[in-house]
Amino acid sequence: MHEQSLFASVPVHQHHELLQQLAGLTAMQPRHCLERRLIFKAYRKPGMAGRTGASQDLQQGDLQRLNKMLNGNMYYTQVVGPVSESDFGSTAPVDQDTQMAGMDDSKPYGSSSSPSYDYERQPWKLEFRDIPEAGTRSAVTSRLMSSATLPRGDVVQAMNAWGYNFVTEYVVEGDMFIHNDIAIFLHRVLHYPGGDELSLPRRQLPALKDMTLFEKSGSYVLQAFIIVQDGSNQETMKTASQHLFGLREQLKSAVLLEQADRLSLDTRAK
Amino acid sequence: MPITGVYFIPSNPNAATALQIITERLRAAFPNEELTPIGRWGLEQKLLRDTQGLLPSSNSNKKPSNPRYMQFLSLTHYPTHGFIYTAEPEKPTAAPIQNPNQGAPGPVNAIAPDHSPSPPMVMTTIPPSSYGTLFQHFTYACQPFWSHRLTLAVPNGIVYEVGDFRVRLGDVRQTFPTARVRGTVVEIEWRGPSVVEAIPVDREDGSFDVGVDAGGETDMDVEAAGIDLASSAIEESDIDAEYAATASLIREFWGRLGVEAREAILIPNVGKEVKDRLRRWKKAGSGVATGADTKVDGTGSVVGERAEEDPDPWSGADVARQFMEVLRFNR
Amino acid sequence: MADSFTLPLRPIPEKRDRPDTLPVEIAQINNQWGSFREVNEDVLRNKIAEEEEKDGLDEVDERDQDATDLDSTERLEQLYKRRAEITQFAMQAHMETMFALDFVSLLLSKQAPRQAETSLSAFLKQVAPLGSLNSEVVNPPPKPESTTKDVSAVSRGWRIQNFNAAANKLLQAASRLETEVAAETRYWNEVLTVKDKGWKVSRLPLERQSLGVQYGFLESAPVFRDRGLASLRRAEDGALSLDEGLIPAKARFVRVRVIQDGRLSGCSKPTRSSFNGDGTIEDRILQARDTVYEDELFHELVREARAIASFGVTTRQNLIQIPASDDLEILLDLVDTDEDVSEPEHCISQQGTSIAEGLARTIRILLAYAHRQNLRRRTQLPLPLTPKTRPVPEHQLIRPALAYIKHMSHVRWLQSLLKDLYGVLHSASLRPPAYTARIFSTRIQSQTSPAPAVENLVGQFLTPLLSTFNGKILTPRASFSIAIHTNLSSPPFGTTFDVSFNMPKYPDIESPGKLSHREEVEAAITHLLLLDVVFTISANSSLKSECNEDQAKRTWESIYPQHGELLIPTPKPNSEKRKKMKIALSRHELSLEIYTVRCIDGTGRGNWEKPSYHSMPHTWKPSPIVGAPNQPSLMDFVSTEVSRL
Repeated sequence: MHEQSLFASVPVHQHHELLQQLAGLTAMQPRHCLERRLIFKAYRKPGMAGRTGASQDLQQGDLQRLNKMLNGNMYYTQVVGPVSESDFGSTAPVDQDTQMAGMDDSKPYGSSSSPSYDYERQPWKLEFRDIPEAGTRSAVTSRLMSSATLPRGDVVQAMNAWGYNFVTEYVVEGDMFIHNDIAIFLHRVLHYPGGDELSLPRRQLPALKDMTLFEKSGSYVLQAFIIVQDGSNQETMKTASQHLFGLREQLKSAVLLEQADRLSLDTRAK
Repeated sequence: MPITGVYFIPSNPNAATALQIITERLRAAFPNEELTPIGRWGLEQKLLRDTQGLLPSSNSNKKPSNPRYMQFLSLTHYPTHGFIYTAEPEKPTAAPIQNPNQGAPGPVNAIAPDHSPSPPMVMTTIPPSSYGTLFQHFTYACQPFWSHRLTLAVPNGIVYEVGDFRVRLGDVRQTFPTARVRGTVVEIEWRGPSVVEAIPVDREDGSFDVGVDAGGETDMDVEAAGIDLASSAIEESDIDAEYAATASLIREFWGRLGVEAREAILIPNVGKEVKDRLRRWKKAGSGVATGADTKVDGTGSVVGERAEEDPDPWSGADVARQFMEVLRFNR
Repeated sequence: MADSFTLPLRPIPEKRDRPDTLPVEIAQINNQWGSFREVNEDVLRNKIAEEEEKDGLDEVDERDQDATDLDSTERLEQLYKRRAEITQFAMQAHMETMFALDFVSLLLSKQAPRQAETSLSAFLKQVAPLGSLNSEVVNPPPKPESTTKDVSAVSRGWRIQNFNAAANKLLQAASRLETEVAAETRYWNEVLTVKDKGWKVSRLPLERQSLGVQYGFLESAPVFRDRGLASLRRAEDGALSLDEGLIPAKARFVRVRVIQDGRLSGCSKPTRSSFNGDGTIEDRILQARDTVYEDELFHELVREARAIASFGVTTRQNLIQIPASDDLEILLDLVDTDEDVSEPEHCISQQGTSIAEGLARTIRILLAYAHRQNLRRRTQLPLPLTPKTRPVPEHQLIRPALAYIKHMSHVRWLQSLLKDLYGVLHSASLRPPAYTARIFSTRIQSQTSPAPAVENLVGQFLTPLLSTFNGKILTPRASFSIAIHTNLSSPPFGTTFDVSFNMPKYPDIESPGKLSHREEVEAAITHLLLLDVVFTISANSSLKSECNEDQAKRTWESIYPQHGELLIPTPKPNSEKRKKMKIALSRHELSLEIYTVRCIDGTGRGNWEKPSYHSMPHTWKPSPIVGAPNQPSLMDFVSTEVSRL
């Protein structure tokens, strides 16, 4: 699958107005999204790369092929999980012991149905994005992508086994609009408070108001994207970029949608 | 999740497979049963191996470490998900904390003590649509450390019902890197009463659903299984015993056929998901409504909204392990 | 208007400087009419009439003259003559103009010789040198007083006239503006009223200068969505009018008719009566909205009807025919609201009407639900773009309603079957425990989905329907259960009866499983109850026999329960004569025959069975009269037979 996108930067004072404009354009209410995003990095054992031991067993061609394969790119990839506002700052689901103890008095706001966040039931998706294609003639950011559902709960064990190490995590908050084939995501990045980097994803989330803005000014990123099933089909790719250009025209008076800098979207692991 | 056993009879590339013989032996061993096919089944397995050791090392005296494998398996009788079984890295870089469901290490391997030198394995099940995507991801983005070695398929298996057993037979063909016949695989499934079947499947919202079948027939199913127990009445040791007892039934069944084969029944980690389920059930049953909050505030996600819901993501994990065990040719 | 105008535009009517004195006026009248004595009303009238007559006569005369000389040659001659005259006049005029030009040019040549020279004729240039004519201002002779007075009077008159004209124009403009403002005010007020009622008012996308009102449904199919916008035009007086473009102004609706046993038994009424041309703008908008909705509804119905042609649904140009259940047929068509429903009223039944009305409401609710689903689909993350366009699935409008009707019909049938069978058993004084029926017991999904309650409610209706019947029978620990599934939304289509028995006394009786025909179900249930009766007889008679020592051996034993056959083993071992009973059960009656057979063990059949003694077949039927006739109960009868041996 390929993803074609255009980006725009939206200053915080324009955010509200743009939300309204987009709601009018797409004839829908914005859908608020909150996502945990875990970053994983592919690893390999030290000393593996670049080893070119000459051998009689292997044909020269095979060796070249192997070398090419072994020195291929490795990537960062994201594991994305939707969360809801009530998941933030809530406790883990109560265990029976604590439940017994704190039935009546010890709970500060008293209701037994206070929201809880259960990490073991958190759904996840593996979202991979390649570095954007270089030198494409059309003025959109086009990159290879894949998206796969993972089992709920703890993904780190499986990801480790698959060759990925957990690096860090952050949260994305924003609003989603759909305009025919185009998804329009107006979002910004939130960091966890404290900043002490844990080596594992959090099992509980801090209160949403304690999250800190990644971009201090609070500005948002507008990403308009279309996903194309078959990136080798030139016709569909062209259609997709035409649609994006159409949207760019429609939003011309509000925001300037443009191609992103290729290297800023580089996902390769060095 | 029924208890199963898997047998594999390898064959030479150009010789006929054992399929015919097994069918005849089945007919001969159970003369009272009408041996008519009740359905078809299929399987596909893809084997990936880590790249370490692919290149001949210059200093040959260095002992190559155990190769690690990642296996993708899809079975037509578990259409809601595919299985990925991966060896954990030897030296876990980020020590994976034992998630509470794994619990103490004791009971996991209690069924069959793990004597094999192979590293611990991680079982993952994913929806069919993501199954292919993930495989492509590994072959594209993980080339430096995973290499696709083998694809095997059972394109046209046959299912028989023999007494309390269900038997799935099929020829295993290798389709990658070269096409050839590898042998015959037989899955024997115990369909009689079983403690394992009495443990209800927990739904995504944390509540327990008695019986897997929809509709009002659930009560009957439990009765038919002959077991209707409260969660407190089943212990993990019961499950181990149940597995061991059923394994002997399956071995006896196979013994009546008299065919030499590679067996996979009580392999490491078999029954792990059943015990997890039991643990969750006991937890839920002990008075606490787990009360997973259902999301009503309508928040969505960029990615999460089309995620398929799998009613029982762990069903078939045992048989998948068994298939993977017998079909892991060292390559 | 003119009164309230504070700025005086008209000249103030000024007093004459010196009004005509009376003597002057009298002199004038005398001059004109003669002596005053001769001037009276009659004379004046005559004079006026005379003058009018004269004018009229003149015209008539001229016309007559024209008519008389219609001779062509004469006319031609006259034509030539006239033409010559015209030319002559023209020439003369030209000449005079030339003279005048020459004269003025010559005069000017004194002051501006270069300019004047250009307009001077060649002849005059030769004859008179330039600048040979001069002019000088001379003092005019003093005009007589009367002349100057005249001139000033005339010029004043002109001025007044012009002022008046200007004033009139301004006043006209003012009043025109005023009506215009009034019209605009009215228009905008009405637009505001429309807006305040909650309608979406916006500019028309293709006609930027005019306003439109959006009344359609955003989630309809595009062709109907685009029809949901009409422009708000302003009439001359400012009244708002709705310009719907090409849409027929007629209000139409989807009519549901129910045909029962080939006769019309119910018909749905239009949801809103059409207004009679003088409705408010709100009414018009509502009507336009309803019409769009009804049109779309019918369009979608036809689309769905084509997709479910396999259920026997047929479509014609403007009619959908749906065979719903046994004798029920449903017709859907799109008709004008004001079309006179002159259907024969006599066969309209309460039930038929309620079906028709219910169905009419159902399909509308389901379309609204489909709209909501469209919104849901539209606002979901789009699927990856592929070259293929994805077909839009047909909405579920007919299918859920049809499933309901079919399901209900099957449930009623099963209820009546069970009622009949139980009635037969009751008539034989057997008292089977009552069965329980759970109609529409489709499991309600407990998962709270984020969708609104309304959508969940309608969504329930789209799931496959299920009704279950459970019952225990006379045999202890035996029971039966029947589940009726109806599903028209996804394969497998249709209704299945899932029948299962639990009959521990006859373990080899297998549950029939899934059946799809009523006959099969009836046969299965009847068979089960027959077995039940047979077992009950054998069990009860043995119970009784325990009490009566002398009859210890004489009990009915079921030998062929499947055929309802029982036998009394004879006490005398050598006797070949045995008594045999054969029971038959149907939904109408329970009948019982008793034979005496002659064979070794009494179980022989075929030729060996010789009904030497043949009792009259004894039947039990559910009697329509509540008071039971004096029939013995089955059990009594049977035990009597035992003792009679």
